[in-house]
Parts: sequence; structure tokens; C-alpha cells
Amino acid sequence: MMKEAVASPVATAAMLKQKMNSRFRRNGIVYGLISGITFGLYSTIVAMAMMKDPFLGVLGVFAAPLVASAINDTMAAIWLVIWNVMKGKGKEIGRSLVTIPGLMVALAAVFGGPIANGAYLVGIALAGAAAIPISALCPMFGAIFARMFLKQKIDKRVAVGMLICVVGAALISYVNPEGGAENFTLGIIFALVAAIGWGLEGVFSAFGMSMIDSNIAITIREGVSGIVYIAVLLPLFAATDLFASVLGSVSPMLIIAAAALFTAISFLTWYMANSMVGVAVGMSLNITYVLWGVVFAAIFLGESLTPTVITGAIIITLGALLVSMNPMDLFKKEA
Amino acid sequence: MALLPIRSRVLLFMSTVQQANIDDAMNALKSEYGEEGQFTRENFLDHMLSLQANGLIDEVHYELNANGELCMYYAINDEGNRTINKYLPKKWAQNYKQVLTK
Repeated sequence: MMKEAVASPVATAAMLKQKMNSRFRRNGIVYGLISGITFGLYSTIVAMAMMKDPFLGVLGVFAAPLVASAINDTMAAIWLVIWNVMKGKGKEIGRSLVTIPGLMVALAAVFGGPIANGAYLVGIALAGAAAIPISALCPMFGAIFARMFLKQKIDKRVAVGMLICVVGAALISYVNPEGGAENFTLGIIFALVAAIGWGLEGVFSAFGMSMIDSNIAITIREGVSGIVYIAVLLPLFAATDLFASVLGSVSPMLIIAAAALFTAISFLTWYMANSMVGVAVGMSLNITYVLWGVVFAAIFLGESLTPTVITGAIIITLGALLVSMNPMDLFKKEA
Repeated sequence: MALLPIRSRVLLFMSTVQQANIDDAMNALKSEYGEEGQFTRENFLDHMLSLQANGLIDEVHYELNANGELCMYYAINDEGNRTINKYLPKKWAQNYKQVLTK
């Protein structure tokens, strides 16, 4: 039987509307996934850069990752400024910085960049790899803060999916703690600070972005983070000499420039996803970077895939799926 | 005078009208941002959808316009008005009201 060939204008409008809504949501989810994949690429590429000369044989645990983060974030900011100027949004940067939402994004940058990342590095140094799964709790804090400050509701399906993602991420990154780590508890506390910092970043940035363009928000984020690293953290951890010598070496700088490009894409798409499908979904998809990081490390750095890692990867994928879609929809026929 | 970030400006515009579609917003802001490369329909749609996703404006209805394109109408809600009063520089809201009463 043939269906009516020409729909009424009302029906057409409704159809177009539904199409647009589902496209908006689908794009948000795709952005969230891209943010995870590119962050995994960034991690792998930075690891490659750190195998190059000025980084090799550096004393102290913090200097190398801090220097890499400082250069990476600053370069990502430069990439983003170029992108925004090309898109005719150059003037928005200054305009946004002098408003309260712009300042909230800057605050988000401090929470997520130097504070969370700094605490993460200290946590790993003190408690060993056990700190990594603790830091993977960040989507939970993000969701809790989003509920508190942004009144974003989390439905049961998203909450369960998020929990599964966190468990998967924890499993992937968990390595048996080597005995005798001193200040283990303190390290775990630092890792918690990192998770809270990243959670706060998600919420502050989502809020700021309701009032300013997400492309601009992320440019401010990377720029502020880079500056605070260079002005505060590098001197604090006595890493300025290494910073200077890396700046002068071509090969690691080129690699970090590539990594920074992926960082820029990752944060851009993460912030977009957060503002399109909510912080809980955005962060859960973003956290799949743990999975991608492992995959890319296996491909490019020849690291091994253990059964734990593979199990964790499957769990994370299931969690991310549950967050982004209702499994019941698979069985429902589209009308 | 320095301009507001355009997304905030769109929200401020929404606080001065009962409801508006993308073309209304673009017409109203043309004199301020019209010369900039970012002044595109695509970007305005993005601003509206993000303001909506963040719960600051609501979609009130939609229809097909004369060109057969989908056209949505939005209205600011309480949260949107609260956000403007709380986070936008006061002089902006005042300036705008003066413009309106002139």
C-alpha cells in the first residue's frame, strides 16, 4: 500500500523538527566521542615526545610532565586563536574575558589545568598508579556538581552508564600498587583533588559556555592554563630550566605541536558535547580516552594489551553506549 | 562602547522580546555585529540551541517559513532572566533599556 506522498505542512515541520533534534543530540554524542579519541591520541603523542632528548634523564618526577603540559596547553591556545580568527571570532576573545562567564571559564581552566593536572601528577608520584583510577572518578563529581549548580538532572540510565565507565576506566588504568609507597593516603587524596578539579572544570565551563561561544571558552581555557603553568607551576617545581631547553629543541617541540593540535580538538569537542548533551554524558564519553589511550599506546608505542585492559575496555564501551542511548531503542521500530 | 560576547548579547536580546526566531535576532544585532565573520545563520542557530540546552531559553513553537525551511521561535525563561541580572554587567541591561524607551 502506498503511503501519502505529500505530507501536510504541519507534519513536515514536525518531521524536520524531530530530525533536527536528533541530529543535535547525535552531534553532541559524536563530539563527546571525538574528544575521547583525540585525548587518547594526545596522551600517546606526548608520551612519544617525552622519550626524546631534553626530557630523557630528567631528575624528579614532576618536571617533565609539567613542562610538557605547559608547552602543550600554550600551543593548543595558539592553534585555537588561529582557528577563531579564521572563523571571524577573533574579537570575541577579549570581549568574553571581561565578563563574569568568561572569568568562570578562566577559573575552570585553573581547576582543570594546573590544579587537577598538578594534583594528578603529585598523586601518581606519591601513591603510584593506584592514583589513576581514583582520578577517573571525575565524571561522577562532574555529574554531582552539575546537579548542584546547574540543576541538570541525571536519569538512572545515564547514572548507571557513568558508573560503568568509571569502573572500566579504573580497571584499565589500575596497576597493582607496588608495596611500600610512602604517603600512599596523601597520594590518593591528591588524586581525589584531581577528580574534583576536573569535575568542577566541567561544570564551570558548561556554565560559562551558556553565555559565551564554546570555541572562545576553550581558547580561554587553554590560554589561562598555559600561562598559569608557566608563571606558577614551573617555578614552583623548579622546572624552568627544562622548559627553556625543550623550547630550544626542534624534534620534541614538533611532536608537542602535533599533540597540542589534538588537545585543541579534544577540548573543543568536549566543551561542545558538554553544552549539547549535558555534563554527565559529555564527561562519560570524554573519559573513553582511557580506552583509546591504551589502544593507541598498543599500536604506536608497542605496549601490551593485558586481559585486565581488554576487560576494562569492553566495560567502558558498554558504559559509554548506555550513557548515549537507551538500549530499548534498539528493539523499538522507528515509526 | 565595547560589545558583549555575542552569545550573551543574544540572550540579552531575548529578554527584550516576547519571542523571537533566528532572523529576528540577526536583524536586531546586525548593527552591532553585522560586519564580523561570525555573523552567520549557522552560528546564530548554534547560539539559540546552546542557550536552550542550558535551560536559559525555551522553544515556544516552530513552523515552516515561506522558503519551506524549519523556523523555531524561542522565549527567555525565568532562569535566563535570572542569569542576565546576575552575570551581565549592569550597565548593559540599563543601556539596552534606554535604547528601547527612546
